[in-house]
Amino acid sequence: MSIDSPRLHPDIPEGAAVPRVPTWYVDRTAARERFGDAVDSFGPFLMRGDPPADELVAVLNELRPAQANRMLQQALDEGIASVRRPPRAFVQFFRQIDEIPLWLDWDKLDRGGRAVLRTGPLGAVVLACYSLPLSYASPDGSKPLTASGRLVQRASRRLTETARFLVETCRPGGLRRGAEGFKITIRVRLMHAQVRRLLLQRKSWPYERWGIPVNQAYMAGTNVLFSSVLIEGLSKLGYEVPQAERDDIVQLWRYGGLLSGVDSTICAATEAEGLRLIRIIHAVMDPPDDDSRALVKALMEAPLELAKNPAQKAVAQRLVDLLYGLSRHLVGEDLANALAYPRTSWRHIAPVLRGMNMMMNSFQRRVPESRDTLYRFGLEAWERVIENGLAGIPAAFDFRKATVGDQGGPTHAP
Amino acid sequence: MLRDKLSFLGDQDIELLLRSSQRRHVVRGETIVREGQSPEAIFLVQEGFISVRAGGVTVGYFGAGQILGEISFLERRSASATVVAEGDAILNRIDNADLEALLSAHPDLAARFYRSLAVNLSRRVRALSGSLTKLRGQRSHKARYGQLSARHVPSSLIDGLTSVLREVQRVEESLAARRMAPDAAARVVASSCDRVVTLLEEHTTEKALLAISVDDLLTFRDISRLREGVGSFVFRICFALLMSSATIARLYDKPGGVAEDDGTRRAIADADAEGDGLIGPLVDRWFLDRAVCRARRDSRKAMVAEIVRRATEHAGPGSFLVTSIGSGGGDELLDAMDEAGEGVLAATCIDPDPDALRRGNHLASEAGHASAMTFLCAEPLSLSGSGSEIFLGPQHMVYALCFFDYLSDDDAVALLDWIWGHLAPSGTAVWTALGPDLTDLPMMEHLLEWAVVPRDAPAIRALVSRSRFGRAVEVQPLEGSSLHMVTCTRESAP
Repeated sequence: MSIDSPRLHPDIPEGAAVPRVPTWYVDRTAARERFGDAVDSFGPFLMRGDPPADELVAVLNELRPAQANRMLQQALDEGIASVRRPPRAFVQFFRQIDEIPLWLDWDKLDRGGRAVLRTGPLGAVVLACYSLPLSYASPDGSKPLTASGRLVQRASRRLTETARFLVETCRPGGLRRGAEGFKITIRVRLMHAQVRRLLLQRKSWPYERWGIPVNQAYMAGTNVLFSSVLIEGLSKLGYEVPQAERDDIVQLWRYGGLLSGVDSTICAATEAEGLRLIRIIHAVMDPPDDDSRALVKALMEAPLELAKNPAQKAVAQRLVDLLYGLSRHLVGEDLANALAYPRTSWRHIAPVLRGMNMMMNSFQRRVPESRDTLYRFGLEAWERVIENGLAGIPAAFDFRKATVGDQGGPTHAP
Repeated sequence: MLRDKLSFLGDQDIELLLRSSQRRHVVRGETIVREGQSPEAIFLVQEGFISVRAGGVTVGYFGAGQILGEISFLERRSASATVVAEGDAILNRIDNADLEALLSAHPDLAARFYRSLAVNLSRRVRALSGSLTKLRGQRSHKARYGQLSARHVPSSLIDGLTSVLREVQRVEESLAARRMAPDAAARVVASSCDRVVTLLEEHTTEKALLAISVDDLLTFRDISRLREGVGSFVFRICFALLMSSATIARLYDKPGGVAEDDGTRRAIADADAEGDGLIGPLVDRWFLDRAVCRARRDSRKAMVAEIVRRATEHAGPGSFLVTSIGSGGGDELLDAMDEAGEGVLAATCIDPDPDALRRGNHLASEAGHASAMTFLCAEPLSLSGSGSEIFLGPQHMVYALCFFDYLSDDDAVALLDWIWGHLAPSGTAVWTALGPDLTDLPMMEHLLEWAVVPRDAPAIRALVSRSRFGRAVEVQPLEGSSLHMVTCTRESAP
């Protein structure tokens, strides 16, 4: 699904001297010892954005906002053919996302989605305590999120929006043309492109040094957080996803990744590829910096944001301690220390949770019908999280529902 | 040379025309055609320069190869301007009756002759329409909607502006009820207006704008569009307050086609506060005390001092020849003449605004300097283009007050090259440039629609290095203002 573009980005002048890799990406000796040539293959993805989305966003910025939204909405709802005289960038973008890869098996995707939703609150915990901290730990990846300062705030809302994105993607047929998961994925892709554009227009974003914001490496790494990394995190807490469903989950997010603009050459096609990718990212990246720590702190302490009185605050503080404890268990001592996690006694809860989940595995194996009940329970739990988190204020990607006078701060997902 | 203007005529045609003409020598200052009179002839300029004057202002020059009086010949109307020889010149006069007889006798010549005139007129019309389009573009105000969604205007900005307007309202009521002294009222109004500028600055920083954009990524608004949006919001809220100031209203309205026309320049130089109602003069006072107005007054004083210094140091024979570019009627030249003394200076003012030049001519006459001053109506940017011949001897100094603040780099380089070509060896081009550190820039851009191209010292040097002056440039900051005095020297040939 990759489309070659002669320009790195519409906001980088043609003919500008662009290095093959950002200047921080040198002397990755330790990483090279572990991953060999893959380190050299990985680097250039830090300098690549998402040309079809970047071109489309450049065009959307030229239109009146109402016109841009109308055209985009119509193309998403009814297809690009329904849009009267669409700009060329529209046609190219939608032609790309309308391509269905040969390997795609919708039944497999539906099974993968059900497997994720069945994890319910445990899946949400792994997402919050393992997947997202791994992503935020990268100084390279966290820079676009902290550039405005706004995204560090309202962490709970960001987490809820991510949950909404996940649930809509995992619903049966969620990524089919016109389904909500498909639309959210495309909108999030365009939001990423807009962030790229805004940051590249800033003089204070040295792309030669930092790489392209929200680059291919970052997007591919984020994509596997929902598949391979989620499966691994669940496993660390004793929850074993059946072998057959593991690949279903991976294929669901593989297609989601392609729709999100991840280049097929870096988009993980297997669970092992996903894990290898995240390991490479962690091997090559610099240690977490203050921005990473600020982002993770805001994420882990999100429950405190919602607490309104002292009693709620006390409960929220216990929950925060629990999340820190579980996250330390999942990400490991070294990364937890680098992220300045406080030490809490709750880290000992992990073995208990692990034991409970192993019992649950055995129950599911013995009573296969329980899976349907668990799916319904899991979906219900995810929806409850979303409903409470959004509190009636539309998510950032629900742009048509936002009205004048909204006080809620739509943010940025995933 | 006649071929340039009578481009369809062949050698034989020219020969026929010249055979029907009388060759005439004219001396400097001789009137060839007087405004309102019927010239009864057309003139072909063979040598020298002829000026066309209306209302005491030179509105054009004709040089060798050009034709005069053709419009009167075509329309059978009296002359619309006076034509005077700028120096000794040679003309060929063809009486209208002789020309008609010639054209009747030679229909082919007539066709080529009229076609040449038609092409000349067509070129003039095209040039005029280009100027009008440019003028229309300068005068039109930009759209003030659609850049920012109302829900994303930061509440701190809304609250800040609301409190400013409330405060001004309170002052107005107190003044009306005579509960407040004018000085105290002026201080409160100035502080309120300062607050507007501060709010605008705070909310148009890159970081503030990025925060607004990430709140609503899917409306696809660039930072520049959001910057305009915040500026437009402040503009809309404060419009009535700002427009009560006479100077601001004039700057915004641009009656002369540009923000800083002759009238505005004078208002800023005189610094007499005027405005509507009780608040208007106070807002005007505040504005006239702002950094940009102070910088304009400082630059004028500095330029007068520079002209006087160079003129008094001038050792050569004759007067010190100085030309102003795009600086209106040359008020600073009159000041310099007063200071330098009789006969020291001979000045030429080149400006596109005939009213400003007429006013300058009138003031020069009243001050007794008329004989030392020439006023030439021309668009400075077109000087460097082809076909705009100007009779200007080598100058000792050519200066521009604030004019370069409105030029793109390419236009500035073209104008510098033109100036270089009209300077005597060791002559200087002196101009002023506003710096990017001028605190009033956001206010000028967003609230007054007063667009300038600020340049710092490195940018100025880089610009001059592209011109024929090369590295012969000195950039001096003017103390206490965000302003540079730039001196480019035409170095003598080695």
